[in-house]
Amino acid sequence: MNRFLTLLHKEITELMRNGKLIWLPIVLMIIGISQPLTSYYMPQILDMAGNLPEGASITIPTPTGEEVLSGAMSQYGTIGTLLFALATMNVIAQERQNGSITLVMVRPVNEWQYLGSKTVAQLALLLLSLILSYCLTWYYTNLLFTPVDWQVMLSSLVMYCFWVIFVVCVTIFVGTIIRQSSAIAGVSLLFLALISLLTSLLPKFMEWSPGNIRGEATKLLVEQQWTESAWTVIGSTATLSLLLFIAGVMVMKKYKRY
Amino acid sequence: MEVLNDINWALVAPLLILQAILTISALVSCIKQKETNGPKWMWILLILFVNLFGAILYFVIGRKNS
Amino acid sequence: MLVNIDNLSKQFKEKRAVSNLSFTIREGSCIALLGPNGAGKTTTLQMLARLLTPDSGAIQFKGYAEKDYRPLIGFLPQHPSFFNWMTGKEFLFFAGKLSSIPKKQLQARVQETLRFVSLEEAMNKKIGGFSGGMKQRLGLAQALLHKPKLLILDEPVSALDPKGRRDFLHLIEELKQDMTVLFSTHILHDAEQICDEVLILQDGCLKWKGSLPALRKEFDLLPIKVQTEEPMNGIIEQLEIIEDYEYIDAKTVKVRLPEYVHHNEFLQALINRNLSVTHFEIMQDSLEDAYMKVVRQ
Ligand SMILES: Nc1ncnc2c1ncn2[C@@H]1O[C@H](COP(=O)(O)OP(=O)(O)O)[C@@H](O)[C@H]1O
Ligand SMILES: [Mg+2]
Repeated sequence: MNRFLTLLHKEITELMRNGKLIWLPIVLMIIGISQPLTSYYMPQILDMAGNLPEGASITIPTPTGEEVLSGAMSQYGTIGTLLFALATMNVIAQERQNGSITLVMVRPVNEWQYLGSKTVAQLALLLLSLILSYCLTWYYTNLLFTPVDWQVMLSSLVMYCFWVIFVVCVTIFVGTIIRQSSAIAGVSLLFLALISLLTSLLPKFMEWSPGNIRGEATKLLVEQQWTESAWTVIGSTATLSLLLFIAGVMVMKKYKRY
Repeated sequence: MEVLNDINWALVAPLLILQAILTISALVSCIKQKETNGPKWMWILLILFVNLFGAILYFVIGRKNS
Repeated sequence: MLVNIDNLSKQFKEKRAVSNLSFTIREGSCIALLGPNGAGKTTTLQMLARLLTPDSGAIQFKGYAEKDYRPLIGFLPQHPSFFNWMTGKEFLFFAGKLSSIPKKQLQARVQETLRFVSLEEAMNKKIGGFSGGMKQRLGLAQALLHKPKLLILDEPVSALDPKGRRDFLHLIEELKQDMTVLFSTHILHDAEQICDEVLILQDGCLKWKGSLPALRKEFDLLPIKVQTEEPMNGIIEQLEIIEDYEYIDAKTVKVRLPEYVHHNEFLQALINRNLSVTHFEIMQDSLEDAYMKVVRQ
């Protein structure tokens, strides 16, 4: 446990020193609050773009608060996922490439502690960023649109956190197999895209799929109640993430080469 | 430019501030960095003129990890 | 005996980097793992440090029941790399905590180790700004921080300039009083300076093991060369202190003395027999010849 905490402390210090703890939350906050702001100023933006013929007026129905929040979700789902994978791809690859992993593994550290500290630190960073961003977005939404109940906001946030957990576990697992960091991000994103695609193509067989998380989170916003399918998706995502983590440790143990 | 008057700047200010912090921290990091992947001036231009993505790109792939 | 290594092998795709390597390490000895580039030194040491799993074979620390013997070893990789954003001191604290050095002792131990490798002044600087020599010394510091029983050093001086090399060898010399040292090198001279025993590795196979004088002897080398004004025929043959000799010409001869005879005694004997010595040389490269013979055989 002590070694795990030492490694975790090192990971978190590293996040602070290399600036990730600053830029990632800020970028996510920008992405988040851009959503309510652009929705609110959409008429002005179109006006500025100015290609409309004189006298023509377009009426855009003002979205509800829930719709704006689910719009933010879809931003997190695309740019957010890309960022999550990019931010996570380096956590093992960099130490392997520059060889600093050697001086860690030559001490009595085991693979559980090593991978565990990386995963926990990364999750802490990404979840913190997501929570900050989403809460700020919710605040803006309440100012500019119909207010959304905080419990509803919170339950959709919790739901969405599982997607982040899944993305991190997939990327870290791929990182135990592949050494090149760009390939790690590529393969992880491809895998995540494939899951989402299969989920939309074969909804019947993929009820458990983590690809349903965004849909479930939106449903929580709109219908405002937990359904059984939400629990299924959470359960399967948590299980899959855990399995991926265990598999990552096994891969490291098997192909020991530091 | 009446449109600009319609904008409630108190609302937009936080967005601009966040953007400014991001740009400045990327710039500071880039200037302090001994070696970048690719020429440094290119990164500085990217950070300054390509909103948001310039800075993100710099933080993700701009720095050399020796 | 401290460690027993039995039948260690490692294959990388087509390349057999180490094959059937067996040897023992005595407690308190200083052993050099000698061999040209690509001989498999790094691979061997990495397997010993549990950084690489051998395909077959066993490594057994005497009197240590647990399989994971990493608390007993300190390892300096061939190209140590650190976390550049840490300071030297932070890194040693990090390493010390991972090795479970009790909190109370850690501060003192870090100071002591930094002093030993003369990095006290640089300890609060970022490692990213360290020179190669400083990194090497920090690498040594982290390897001996937890007072390991066996210190494993992979080509510790190969990347250093002559002065750095000499200083570093002095450090190792000091360390070998307290712990067992195993280090690899491709330069015979380094091995000769500090160690008692060598293991010569070539293409992953152990070619020779033993002490350096034994190596000299086994390959029948004649390390002393003398030239005199007068022919020496008949005189050399009579000298009892000579173990072996070889004439190059009548006035030049190469000889080997037994270990207990100092070369001055031989010189004295020549002078006593009224020979005028014009050249007397103890050939440094004789060991090099032996080494080359082992490697080529
Ligand atoms: N990771 C690896 N993959 C493939 N071959 C390797 C690997 N590491 C070492 N080798 C090969 O194994 C042999 C021994 O290498 P090494 O132990 O590094 O030699 P040394 O340290 O004595 O110079 C070399 O021929 C090298 O090419
Ligand atoms: Mg080597």
